[in-house]
Amino acid sequence: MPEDILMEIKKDYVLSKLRDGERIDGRRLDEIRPIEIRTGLIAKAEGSALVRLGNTMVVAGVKMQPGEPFPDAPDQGIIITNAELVPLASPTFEPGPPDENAIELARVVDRGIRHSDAVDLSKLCIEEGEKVWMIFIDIWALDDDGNLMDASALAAIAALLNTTVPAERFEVGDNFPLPVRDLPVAITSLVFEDKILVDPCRDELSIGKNTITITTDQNDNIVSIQKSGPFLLSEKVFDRLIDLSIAKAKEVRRLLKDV
Amino acid sequence: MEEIKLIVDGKRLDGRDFEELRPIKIEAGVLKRADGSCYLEMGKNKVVAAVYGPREVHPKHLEDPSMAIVRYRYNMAPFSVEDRKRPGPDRRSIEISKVSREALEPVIMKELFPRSAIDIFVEVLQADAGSRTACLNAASVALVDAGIPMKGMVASVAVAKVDGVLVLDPMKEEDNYGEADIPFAFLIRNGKIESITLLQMDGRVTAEELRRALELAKKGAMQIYQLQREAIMRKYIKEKEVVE
Amino acid sequence: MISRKIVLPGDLVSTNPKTAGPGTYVEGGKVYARVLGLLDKTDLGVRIIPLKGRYIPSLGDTVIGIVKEVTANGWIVDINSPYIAFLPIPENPAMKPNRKPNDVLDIGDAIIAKVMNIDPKMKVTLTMKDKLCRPIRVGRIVAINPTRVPRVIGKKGSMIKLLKSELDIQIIVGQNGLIWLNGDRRKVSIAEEAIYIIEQEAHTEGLTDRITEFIKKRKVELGLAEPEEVGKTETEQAEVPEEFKENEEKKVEEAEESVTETENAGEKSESKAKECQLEERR
Repeated sequence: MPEDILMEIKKDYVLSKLRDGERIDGRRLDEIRPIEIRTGLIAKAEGSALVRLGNTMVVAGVKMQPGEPFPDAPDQGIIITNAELVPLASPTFEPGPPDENAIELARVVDRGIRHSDAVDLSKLCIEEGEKVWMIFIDIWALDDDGNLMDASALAAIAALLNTTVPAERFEVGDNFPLPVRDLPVAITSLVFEDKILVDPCRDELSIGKNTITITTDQNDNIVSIQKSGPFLLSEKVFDRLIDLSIAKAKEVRRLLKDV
Repeated sequence: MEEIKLIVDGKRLDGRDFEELRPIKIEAGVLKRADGSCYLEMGKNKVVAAVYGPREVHPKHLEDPSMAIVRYRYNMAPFSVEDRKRPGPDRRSIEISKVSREALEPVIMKELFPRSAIDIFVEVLQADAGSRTACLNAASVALVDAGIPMKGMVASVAVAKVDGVLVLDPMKEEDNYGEADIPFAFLIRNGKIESITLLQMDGRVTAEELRRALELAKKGAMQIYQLQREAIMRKYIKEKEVVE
Repeated sequence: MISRKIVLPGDLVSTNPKTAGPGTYVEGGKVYARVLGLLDKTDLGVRIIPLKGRYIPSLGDTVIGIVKEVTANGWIVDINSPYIAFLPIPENPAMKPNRKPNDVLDIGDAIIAKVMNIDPKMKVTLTMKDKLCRPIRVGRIVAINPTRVPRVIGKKGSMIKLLKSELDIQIIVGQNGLIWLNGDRRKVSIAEEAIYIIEQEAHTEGLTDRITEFIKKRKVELGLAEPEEVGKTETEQAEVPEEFKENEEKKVEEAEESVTETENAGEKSESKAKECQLEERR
């Protein structure tokens, strides 16, 4: 993997600012970068969204088609989430099948959507035991300036909100909007000693890619957690992260209501 | 879907109390060729862990001039589950391998062995719920058995929410039909829980339940830690030196 | 009599950071074990004698290695460690201007060498400029777990002395767990068996006595000694019996030399332990 030496150089600067409780881009420790959500930009997709989180940019596309249900859920639609860290998004990304980072990204986004029951899968049954709707969510990273996780989770749910089930194309009835009933929001924080930096940018991650992602639903339940990175997490920091993530998710969720 | 009751008369389906672990069996140093190894059963999970290293890094370009690299491979045998699993890493295994490695890395004193590799291989021979926690417990014992310098030991256990109740160390049915699964791992030093090294969660819990789950997991991890110690002591007790 | 107890990584071994020695680490003013091992605690310091682990080179160690590659500048040597070692041309006294490196040492050759330098990135440099160092052309190499090397050497080299005097063979112990044995084929075999016993058996009392007995027994079994000698030596214990003192005197000079050298190696590793201790205090 090509070393990103610029990261090393930034490290001292980040640490020095952090000692005074400051961030290099002037944000408060719990401040999320400006978010921009655009939906429906890919006409060929059933649903799509582009999310900018500061300079981080992700596009998510939803494709749907009828398929066979899982035997243990014969009347439920199926969600399949995939993420690609394509080489145009970062000098450190390489072509090839998804690596552990891409897989982790996809699986954490998937868990947030799945366990918040964001999509009413029972309304996606075409013929019980035979045919249900399959939802493919594909997350495409375009620019990695840190925290692809939150940008991807946001792009995924925004794309789902924008999705029309293409029933007419497959001759199984009339098109209808995808039944989305919850809005999971992922909040990723960088943990450094006892400090918590919400929504870390790429340069900040130079001090260690030690993050926690907590995804909550619209009722403030926690639906997914992922500790990512080789670090020791103190119980105290974890305790603070719980309430912080719930509060920050509320802020972000407001933006989704306008989608 | 048919409603499955997971708690009947205040007991779990396998007769356990809410805060009770499954039976655990640990044996250290079971493999001759590995530098360190461990066989572990946790309920119906049967796993074997091996540690090789520190050793030369192959391929060479993965070398880190300042510390050892740690590699962790969680792998399920095709016969470990009801329906044969296709051999080789799937997405789930790759993710488990990543978070498990990251759970051990901050405990291993990597900086003592620049330009080397410490390889941890864990094979799941029989899987039930919580195989990742069983594997981490085995890996921790195997690392000690290999003489790898560490800050302490790692013990891992999950907490689940089933029928609205938090239960320790869920088995298959509780994992499948429960409302949430929260695997934890902790760094334990000198009989005290120091920090969290692995934390994942999926399902749905409130903030308050999450906090209680942590406390429950800590209790379970302490018991596992004692069993891990005993397993190592059993193997090495004859080494106890008598000096004048 | 005290017993050295087994400690595991993370076990608290001292509350005085100044006493922290090898196999420990200090955090928050407390000293913890970092490896599985035996606790060796005195007023001066606390260290953990590891029970398992690979050989990690240390300055001044005597090691036995196998040449893996010959280059224009020297030899690349496998020393049974995560780190491959390099023996530069000028560090091999056998190298003369008119000779090619692979005429002096070729791939697959075994050597006894000393660790001359280790850089912070664990690039290991060897030297053969020491009377103990030599290419190994005869004898046998035995491999044991490197953490058991101090046992084979024994206190102040006592175990090695015992093997040498009882069996009249040459022995050089590499700190990397490789041991060179040379002499009568059957005696070397007895030594090899004895070394495996030392490696396996606990550091319990009377190991020296048990090894003495074992050697006597095997010598009788292989027809190298008369049965009555067994009884005699049992009472005399570790004392070198008369019958062998004669042999001892006839011993080749080289073998004598290596007795003292192994002793030194043992002592060196002790002083090295102290160095480490100092380093960790910092």
